[in-house]
Amino acid sequence: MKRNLALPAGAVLCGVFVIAALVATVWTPYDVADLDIGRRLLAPSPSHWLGTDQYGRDLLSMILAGATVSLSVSLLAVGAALLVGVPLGLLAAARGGWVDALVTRAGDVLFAFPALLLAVLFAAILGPGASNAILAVALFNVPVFARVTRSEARRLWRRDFVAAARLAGKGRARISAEHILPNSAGVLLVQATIQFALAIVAEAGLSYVGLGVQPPLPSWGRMLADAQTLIGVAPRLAIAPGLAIVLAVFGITLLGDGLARRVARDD
Amino acid sequence: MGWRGEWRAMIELREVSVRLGETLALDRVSLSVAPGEILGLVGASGSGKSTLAYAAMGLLPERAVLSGSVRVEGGDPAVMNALRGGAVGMVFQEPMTALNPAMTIGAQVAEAIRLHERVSRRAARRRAAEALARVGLDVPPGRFPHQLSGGQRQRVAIAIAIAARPRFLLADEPTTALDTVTQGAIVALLVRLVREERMGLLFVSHDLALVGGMADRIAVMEGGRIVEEGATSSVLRAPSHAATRRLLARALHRPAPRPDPVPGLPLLEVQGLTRRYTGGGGVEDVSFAIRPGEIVGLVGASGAGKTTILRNVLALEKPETGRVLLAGEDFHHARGSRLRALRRQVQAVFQDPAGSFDPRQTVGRIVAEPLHLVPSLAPAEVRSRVAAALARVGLDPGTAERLPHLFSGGQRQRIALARALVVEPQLLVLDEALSALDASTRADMLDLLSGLNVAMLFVSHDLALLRGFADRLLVLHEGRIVEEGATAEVLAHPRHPHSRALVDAMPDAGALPIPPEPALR
Repeated sequence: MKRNLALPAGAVLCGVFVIAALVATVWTPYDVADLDIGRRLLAPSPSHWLGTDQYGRDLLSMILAGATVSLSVSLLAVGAALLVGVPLGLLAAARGGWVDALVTRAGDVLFAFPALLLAVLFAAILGPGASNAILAVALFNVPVFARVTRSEARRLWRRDFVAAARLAGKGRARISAEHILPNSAGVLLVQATIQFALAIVAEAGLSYVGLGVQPPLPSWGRMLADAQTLIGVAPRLAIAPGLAIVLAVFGITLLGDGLARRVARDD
Repeated sequence: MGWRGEWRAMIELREVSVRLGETLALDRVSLSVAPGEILGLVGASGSGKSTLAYAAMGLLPERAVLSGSVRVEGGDPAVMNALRGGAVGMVFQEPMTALNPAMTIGAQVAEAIRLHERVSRRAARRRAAEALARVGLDVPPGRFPHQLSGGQRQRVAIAIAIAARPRFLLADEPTTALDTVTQGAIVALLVRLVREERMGLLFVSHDLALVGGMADRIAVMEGGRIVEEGATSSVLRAPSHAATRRLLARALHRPAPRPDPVPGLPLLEVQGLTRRYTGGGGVEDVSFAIRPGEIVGLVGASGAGKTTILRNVLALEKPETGRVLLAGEDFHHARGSRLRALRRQVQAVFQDPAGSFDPRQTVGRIVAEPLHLVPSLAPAEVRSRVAAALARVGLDPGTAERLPHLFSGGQRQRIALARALVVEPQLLVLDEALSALDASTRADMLDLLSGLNVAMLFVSHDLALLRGFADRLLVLHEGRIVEEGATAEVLAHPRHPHSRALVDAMPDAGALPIPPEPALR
């Protein structure tokens, strides 16, 4: 197939995800903190499109609000990782020598631990909660971005246009900002989408074991955990958040794949 | 000579036209190559010679519309695939792109054999080793392409091309990326293979001097047509078409004479420069000087240390020992505003016209970059200096708004030159700056450079280019300067064996049976 269908398909799925998250910040069909045991486990109907859960909360509202949580946690985690990792990678490539060795080895050490497991430990020590989940996910994304930036930057530092910039008397920091970073942006964007998808899974995973976002804020991961005992009674309680996670990750991955192909073509 | 008895063409194109979108790339071209014959196809870039080669191979892009007939002997006319069922072998300009970096060279040749013939793995391996020996490759078949030199890679590419025993070989600028010594060896190899096997060879090149030394017949292309065709000696002796005369003039080109270099203090002094690398290479105890306005050519095979000298002269790298003095001042120990003042005096043009620009910046920003060395320039002043630099290299100031990838190789080198000239340096360092250009663009650039009246350190593997352009030559061999002298003197009486090898390998337009230059003008 020659046409790049991944990009529009991914963009549509991500668009739905983002719009859902944005809408849920100001409005959901029902209040997700509103427990009403009398209306528990209602089947889907015109007033509750996806029905209600075991506490009588509207499932659609939960899914929408979960999108907000998922998006904001992942966005903050990946954004923080970019802010730390990219400058580290640029620095390592620009300075070389012991600075490079230090950044690279420190990244290797972090990579050596199973990320999700350590995030669990991290959340267990600092206590569960959204901000600690963000911190844990961000920490493990720092070496990813540092590494990608460093390898791309090292490739660019060998190019003649960088030599020309040095002949123009520009320093390493200035060359990194003016030439290296703009030319690495495409690769970093692609990597960021991949890490974003992983961050959504990580957030869901942490919430699933109770170490992520705390009630009453809904989370897809915790909804899955809560639905576990009721899987025989109301499978939709598990299917809805599961499908939401899968579609969000799938959409972002498609978007990243489409972007990667476009970046490769531009080069 | 190969087509005297039986006239049976190996490959024949009849009235072939190729349309690429709006443009007519080939216009009713007819051409044939007989067994054992070498046909040289010459033309400036854009003349359609590559399109013709691709049409003959059935390798045209999908959007191309072909009319007329292409017939290959031994090839099934119904099979329009890339290699025409093994009847045709092809050698490309850049061997690295034709080789798989992850496979050993022996395995790649063996694969090429097994693609065309049903033979056992072991037989294919044995024949691959034979093919590698036939192309004069003296490295084991277990090597990977990146472990080989450019010339060795091209030999591997030739081994792959002849592996299936094709009847016809097509070589598209196969030596353009190589130094002159290697170029001579590759050409000799192709001629030997063609003669031994009675293959036909279509040799595509922009270099009439090179083709004149090997081809039986020459066809000259311009604007998608063959404008002249005939036996090599008659085409060279009595060219009938203006395009041929132009190519001949380019092959013999001597730039206009320049004023003699100003005597006095040297502008650049390199004293006892030593820089070695772990894993080999680098230079040892190199000393030389360049006077203001003087053009010095630095020649040597790849790996001789030319780039190391450049990087140290440009202060992109620090020497282990030795000094680089600019107008008497130590370049490597200058700091701050002194360093900026020194940097203003030396600028460079690099080899690769594609890699020397940030692809995301406009030509205006690219050319303006060295003005960073001039403190506190107003934006209007920057713009006017960029426009002046562009005009100086013969480019329209309007190009400043555009992105570099929109320009041809020759124009890009002009942009690179404009960037170097924008700070009005005393010394220009040119690193193989003309190697990637075709002969006519190269001659235009040489004319432009010789009119600049700036001292130059011109690194090249191409002695023919430096003849008549450089005042002095430095011959570099294995990290040391083995010979130094006036250009004419070194070329006429090379003392060191390595310089002699370089001079002998030069494709010599002067030795061709062609009239003296004034008659061409």
